[in-house]
Amino acid sequence: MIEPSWIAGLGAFLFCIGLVGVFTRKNAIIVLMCIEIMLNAVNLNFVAGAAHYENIDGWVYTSIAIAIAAAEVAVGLAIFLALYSQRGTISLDEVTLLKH
Amino acid sequence: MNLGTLFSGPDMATILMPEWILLLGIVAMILVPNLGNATFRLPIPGTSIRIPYLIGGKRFSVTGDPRVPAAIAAFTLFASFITALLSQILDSGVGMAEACVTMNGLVQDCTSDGTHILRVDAFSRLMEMIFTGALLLALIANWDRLPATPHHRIPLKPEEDEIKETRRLFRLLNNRRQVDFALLVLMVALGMCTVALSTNLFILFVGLELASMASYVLIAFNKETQAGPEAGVKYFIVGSVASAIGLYGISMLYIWNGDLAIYGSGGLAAKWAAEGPNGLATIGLGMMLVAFGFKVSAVPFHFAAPDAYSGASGPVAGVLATASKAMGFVALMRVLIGITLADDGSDWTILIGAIAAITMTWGNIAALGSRNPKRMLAYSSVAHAGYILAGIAAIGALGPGDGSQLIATAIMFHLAVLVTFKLGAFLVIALLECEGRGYELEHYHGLARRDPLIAISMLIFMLALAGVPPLAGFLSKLMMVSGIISSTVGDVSGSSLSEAMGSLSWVFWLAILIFINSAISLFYYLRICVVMFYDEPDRNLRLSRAPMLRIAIMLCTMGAVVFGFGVLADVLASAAADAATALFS
Repeated sequence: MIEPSWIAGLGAFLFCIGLVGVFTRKNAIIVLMCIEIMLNAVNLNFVAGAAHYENIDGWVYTSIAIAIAAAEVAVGLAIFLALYSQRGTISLDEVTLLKH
Repeated sequence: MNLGTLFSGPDMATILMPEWILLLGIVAMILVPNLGNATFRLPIPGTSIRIPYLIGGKRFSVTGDPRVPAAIAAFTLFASFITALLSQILDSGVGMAEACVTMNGLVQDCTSDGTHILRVDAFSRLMEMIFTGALLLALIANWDRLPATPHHRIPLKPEEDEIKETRRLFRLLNNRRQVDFALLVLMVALGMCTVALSTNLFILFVGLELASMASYVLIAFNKETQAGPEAGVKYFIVGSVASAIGLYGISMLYIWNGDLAIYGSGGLAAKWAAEGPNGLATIGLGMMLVAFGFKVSAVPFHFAAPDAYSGASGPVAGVLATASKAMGFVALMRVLIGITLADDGSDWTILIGAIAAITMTWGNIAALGSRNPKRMLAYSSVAHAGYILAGIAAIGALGPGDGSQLIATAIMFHLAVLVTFKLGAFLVIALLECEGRGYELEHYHGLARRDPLIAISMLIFMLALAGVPPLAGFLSKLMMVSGIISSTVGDVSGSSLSEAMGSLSWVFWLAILIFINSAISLFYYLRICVVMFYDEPDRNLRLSRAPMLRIAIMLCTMGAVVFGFGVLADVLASAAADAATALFS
């Protein structure tokens, strides 16, 4: 069996990738993918905790977190679509109308 | 929880009555507008028996009326508000006043040992009333911002005139979107009530996400405008990054403790008090503060808030500034006061104090330089978040006790009365938005001549926001500042004044900073009042009729006045005191 600490370590690694991606990428879809990577890192943490403490809560949290992530994608894509149909772009650099 | 426990014992149904009502309202909202005369042919050869199954087909004219969804939602929110109120007014003999729900769906006494995930007490009931009340006002106000017209009044064939045709299409479109708006408002309400009830970090987070995702869509709801989708995208990206970071923090606390319940023997608070935090728990807590700090728009995470408020329609922006902010503070108080207060030497109080100082100052300075009243109100709500954070920092520095309870009472009172005057100010903006304006200070010139009643309401809201007596905003600020000062000055030692000043807690200076910032804020609040009363209007048309919106504004005005002094203010203050006691128990 894989040590829980290795799972949590992989989770931390994925979280860092996601966080860096969120701040460096400009395409809204890729930013959304990075957020998904961060949420999957959370799932790995819950799994690692559940394996370490041998209680079932972590598995339940994981399955609900997957559903939350799916809902987040649905909402996000809908909002991006509204933006795209209006401006023809989803680059976050070009959404600069609301200033001052 | 299995369905058996739900129906065999009435406890579960009674104590969670406001939430069940919201849930039933959501189901009704999905079903009722879709009722129609659809039939289903039995698949037997040679027969043509058709069984009606009612969902779909040609919709009935009664249930298909575009005014039905808002009516259902308003009724649901009102019923939910009233049940929450009655459960506190009536004696606890009804069994709705205080109870806890365990992980497997049993209703227990809160003192009994076990891992509870939901907790019904004076605190959660007061918060439920704040949330449902604010959403109800916003829903009533939106009646005229998103007008619902019965189909037969809209001509079905295209108009030749281009302007008339656009207007006809918008009315048809609005009719179709009533259900979406009302449904999203109910979901926000359900998510917020879940946050108010939960004593398990993960359940709290699920409620937070439900409310936030529905509010992302509400912000981008006017997708035909230029600002709507942009505001939605910005708020969505920043918000979901913040909540991903917060969820990672929660998962770190899970690895630390193996249980996400806040109270109870195996809970986070017990472990925090017994062992103190290690690095994992500290970082996890810090990451959660990022998520909740975004919700209350504290300074490093405030930058999406003004954009979101100015892109959303007036009532939605009002909800974001009041109910959504109150939800963030509920989560913050559950985490900071619930988990870490026993460890009173902790460093987070200094951190929260610093954030509070920066937040209130920065918010006020940014509001001074803003020409768009909606953005100005957004920055002023950042400043108000700073005042409340100062209160939380003071609670952390003082530790549990009478002084902390006084400050917590002030916070609760402030969150409640904020619904009246902050939401009211946004509703006045919504009234100007009905004629396509409201985003420039010039649009408010001479409002008193165009509509004296609305101008006086706006004056009351602005004075209440600035904290001028005898309005509601004054009382809440007074309670906060006097709570901080009386509990810090009490233990001052030293003979001379300079020694006494030196021995004061740093929290005292936070109270002074609240004073200074209130003085600064008076300037930009009064600027709007001055242009309303002394400048010439650039058009002499009357404001839009918008009867429901005006009713909502009048309700807010009455609230801002009656909660400032007198009987109702005492009632609300004692309810807030009960809530503070429940929070610390």
